[in-house]
Amino acid sequence: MPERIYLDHAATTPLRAAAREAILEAFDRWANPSSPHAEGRAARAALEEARARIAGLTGWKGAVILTGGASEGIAAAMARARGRRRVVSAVEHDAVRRAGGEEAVPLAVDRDGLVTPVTLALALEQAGEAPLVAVQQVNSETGVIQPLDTIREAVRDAGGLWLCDATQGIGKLPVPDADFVTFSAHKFGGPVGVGALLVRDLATLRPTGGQEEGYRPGTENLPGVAGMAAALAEGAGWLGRAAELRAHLDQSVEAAGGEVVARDAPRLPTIASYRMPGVAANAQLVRFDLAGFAVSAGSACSSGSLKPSPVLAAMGFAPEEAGEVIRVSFGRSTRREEIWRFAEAWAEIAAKAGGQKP
Amino acid sequence: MRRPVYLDYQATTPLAPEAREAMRPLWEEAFGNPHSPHRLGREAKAAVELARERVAAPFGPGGRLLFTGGATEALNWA
Repeated sequence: MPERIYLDHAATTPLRAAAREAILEAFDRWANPSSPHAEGRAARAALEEARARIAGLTGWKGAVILTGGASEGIAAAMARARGRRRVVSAVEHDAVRRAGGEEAVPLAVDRDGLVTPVTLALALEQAGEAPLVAVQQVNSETGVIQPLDTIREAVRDAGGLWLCDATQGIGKLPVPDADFVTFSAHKFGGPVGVGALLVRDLATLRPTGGQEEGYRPGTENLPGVAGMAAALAEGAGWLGRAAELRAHLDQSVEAAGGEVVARDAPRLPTIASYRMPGVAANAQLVRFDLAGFAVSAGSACSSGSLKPSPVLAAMGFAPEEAGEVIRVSFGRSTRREEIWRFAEAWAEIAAKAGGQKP
Repeated sequence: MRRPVYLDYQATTPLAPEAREAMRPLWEEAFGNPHSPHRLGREAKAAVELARERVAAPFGPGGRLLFTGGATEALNWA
């Protein structure tokens, strides 16, 4: 049994061996894919082959623009997609919220964190003509999966474009049929620093000049892209096992007096948020860390200050309750024994805290 | 056929062995997200800050060094 148990795979997950080999091989044969000589042409061929693999694995018929990660793809789409007002759901990741800016039209969610036909209609009406609508596939804190068909229809009927942050779902769920889809390789066992922006129709994105057919300037990261393709090729066969583990953990937490956030909503089986009544998330994180478990709260990118999660606030959690929620997330390497030990630790920490209450 | 001679270092250069060795731990046991609150995350953050100091050292004191995805990205920011 390893000394530490890592349950923060939604923040990042270990590089797959096949990805590491693809990266090292690409470094060995590395040349600038834009160079005119044989080495450059070989690099170009390898890049295009990796791109084609990614398109095949995602079933994407439109353009695959290789980026430095999901945040970059989000910023590019928000800044350069055709359309007037930006609409941003209340449960988007910080990266989307920031890119949408102060002028974005808010799109409300229900208590499970789901957009609804009503909230969509209200936001689209407020946004007016040709909106760019940002709604994620899967929430990084709760694992809740949005009603993708409903969103696509509503946005299409409004003459708008849908930007879907697929960072948590990629490599696990089918790629959404959106106008823009963004993701990062390091969430599915590829290397950090590389991702993709899938674009249904390049005519809907303003070009910048430079590489990637004028849509993303900068020398292409062939080793990163090769690693990303190799990791994506490994598939999602482990999700069934993850679902069993998550069900067990949900039950254990509830039996110990905890709350499973958005319990009955459709959720990706690899992410769960649990509330421990009476115990602040900060305190939980310290105790879990000391006990050898790596978990998280809020979302990784904002955890420096552990401010209350806007996602939980949008779902109707009071600040104090939201401040008692931590996130647990599984990866390919997560074992049954690790979940059992975490469930025990959760119950222990909850019981001790209960004993100390006045 | 003679072994090819690469004289296009301005376009790009081979990965230095020191660089490959420095990256190795990050591809194996030291894989944490620098923003994660747990120990693996804190170790990753420390590694990023150490690298920042090392890259900034030749440029003398003052100013800030921001990591980007490359020169083109930095040019676009500025």
